[in-house]
Amino acid sequence: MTENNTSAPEKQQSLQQSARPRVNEFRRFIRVVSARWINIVGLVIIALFIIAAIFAPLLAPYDPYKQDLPAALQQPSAAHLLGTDDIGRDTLSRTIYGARISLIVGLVSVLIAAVIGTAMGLCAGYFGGWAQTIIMRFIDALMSIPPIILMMAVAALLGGGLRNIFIALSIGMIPVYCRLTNGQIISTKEADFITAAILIGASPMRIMIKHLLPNSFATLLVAMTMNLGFAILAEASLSFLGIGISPPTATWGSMVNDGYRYLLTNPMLSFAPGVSILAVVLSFNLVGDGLRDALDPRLRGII
Amino acid sequence: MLSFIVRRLVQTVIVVLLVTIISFLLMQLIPGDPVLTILGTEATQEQIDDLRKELFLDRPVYEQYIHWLNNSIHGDFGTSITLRQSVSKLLITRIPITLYLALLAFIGSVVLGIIFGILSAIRRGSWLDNVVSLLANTGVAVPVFWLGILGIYLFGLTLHWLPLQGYTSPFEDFVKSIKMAIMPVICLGLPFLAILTRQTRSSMLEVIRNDYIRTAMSKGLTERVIVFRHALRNALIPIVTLTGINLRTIIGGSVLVETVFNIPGMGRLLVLASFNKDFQVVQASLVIISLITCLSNLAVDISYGWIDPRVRYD
Repeated sequence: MTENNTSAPEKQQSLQQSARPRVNEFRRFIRVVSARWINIVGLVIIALFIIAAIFAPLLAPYDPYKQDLPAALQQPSAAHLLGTDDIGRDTLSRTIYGARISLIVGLVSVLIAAVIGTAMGLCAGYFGGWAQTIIMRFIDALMSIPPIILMMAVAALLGGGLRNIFIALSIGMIPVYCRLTNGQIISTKEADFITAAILIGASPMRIMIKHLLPNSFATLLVAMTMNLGFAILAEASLSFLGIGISPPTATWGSMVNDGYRYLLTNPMLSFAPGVSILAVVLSFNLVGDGLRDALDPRLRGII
Repeated sequence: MLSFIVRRLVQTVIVVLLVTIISFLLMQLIPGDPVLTILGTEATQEQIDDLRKELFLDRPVYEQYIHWLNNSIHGDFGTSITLRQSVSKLLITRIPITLYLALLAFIGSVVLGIIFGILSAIRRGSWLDNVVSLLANTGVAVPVFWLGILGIYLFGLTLHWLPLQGYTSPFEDFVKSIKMAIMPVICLGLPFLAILTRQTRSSMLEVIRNDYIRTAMSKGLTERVIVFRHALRNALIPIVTLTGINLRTIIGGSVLVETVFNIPGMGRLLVLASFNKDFQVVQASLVIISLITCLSNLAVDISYGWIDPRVRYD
């Protein structure tokens, strides 16, 4: 937005900067991220959930799928810290296992969306003309439908299952990356180093990957971090609606839905998975904010 | 101005046409034969052939598409295969409910979002700013369906302040309608409110650093005049852009909120239709939703000129 209208004092600042000794980029990155306690909190929460997901079999006190009808719908107690559901499954264990699905679905679908979306955006921006018009109009069309509705329709029509959830979630997120990359490419395409690359005979592929892509890397990383939270929220929404990963699998969204029926007697059944969703999504957003501050070249020298 | 509107309308038509193609292709993804799904396994070959002919499914895909598009333009979106009703009639009864709640949520979040954003920008670093920032961060991250359930638990089941679920038309019983709408509207609006608050805050912070604000302050103008006359107007452009993009967030949220609160709107219909692979309903809903999004974006673009006279439409 403001790239083009650098004001006089800012220019002066950047001149002063170039005269300064080089700072260690990695050290600066660590310093900026750890300067705000809220970033640390976000990182710690994400780390905790990742550990829970990886070591779920060791950490979960019970088998998340083992039914125990005599122990159904128990209140939180020493034996079942968060109580049990209507067929006696331990809520804490299911919440821990739920982290697996959420994180895997988030990570994989964001990666798919980022790769496809970025490739589309690169092609549109680099080739311009008709290629750009067609790709970007197609993206406009996708964007005119709310992502959650697009994801729901795709997932429902394809039928549930992990693979189809990956597809559905990525389709909903591709437009973000496509637009982002396209915008970045348009603004860097005219730079001298690109003209130089063309002149020495570099192929379009090489220019796109070696010269144009690295310039949007920071922006993409921030968008992906933020999107991880969004993908996890979307997956939870889909499994809450019952359109997603099939029932016995422990997912936070379907746990909230299952607990809904027992709201009056056992509110913990929906509270525990709901809080987990909130905590993870919030953390990814906070860390995304922190990353943006650390990677934004305009803030260099200020923080 | 007029040529701008015409050009944008043409663009809107292209985008909506693309959406019809995309949604039509999506329906081709449905595994299995829709005719068999409708008729069940005991149908005779003759029945199957008849229905296939009736639904135009015996023709090539592009002919099916043109047939469907032609009917849709004339307001006939076909017949729902599970509800056995005209899709247009289904949608006409349900869209007003969704739009009514969405508009309440939209207006509420715009008003509150701008007020919260301004307050936290001009009292930057105060406890108010911290509370608003925390709420804004949480508002984006909270699963709305879960928020709705929390609301039902707290205000419905525990405190008995509000009805649990359902919908009443405001023309039928106004007070009851408002009471029933409070929780759904908050759930629908919260994510948008949070985004808008953050945008207003950062855009106000950028504007109040400018020299003309310092000039206004040194002239001795009151804070209110400075904020509303000088700062807000200039901060408004990115805020308005955001409202255009995010109206769709509210419509998207209606899918979840209407399910939680059992509201007979378009969102609930769309969930059920997706569930039953009722492709006629899904197709029509996607097209209508995209039309709503495009038209609201157009309205936003037109409003730029009114907010900022420097904007020229050419």
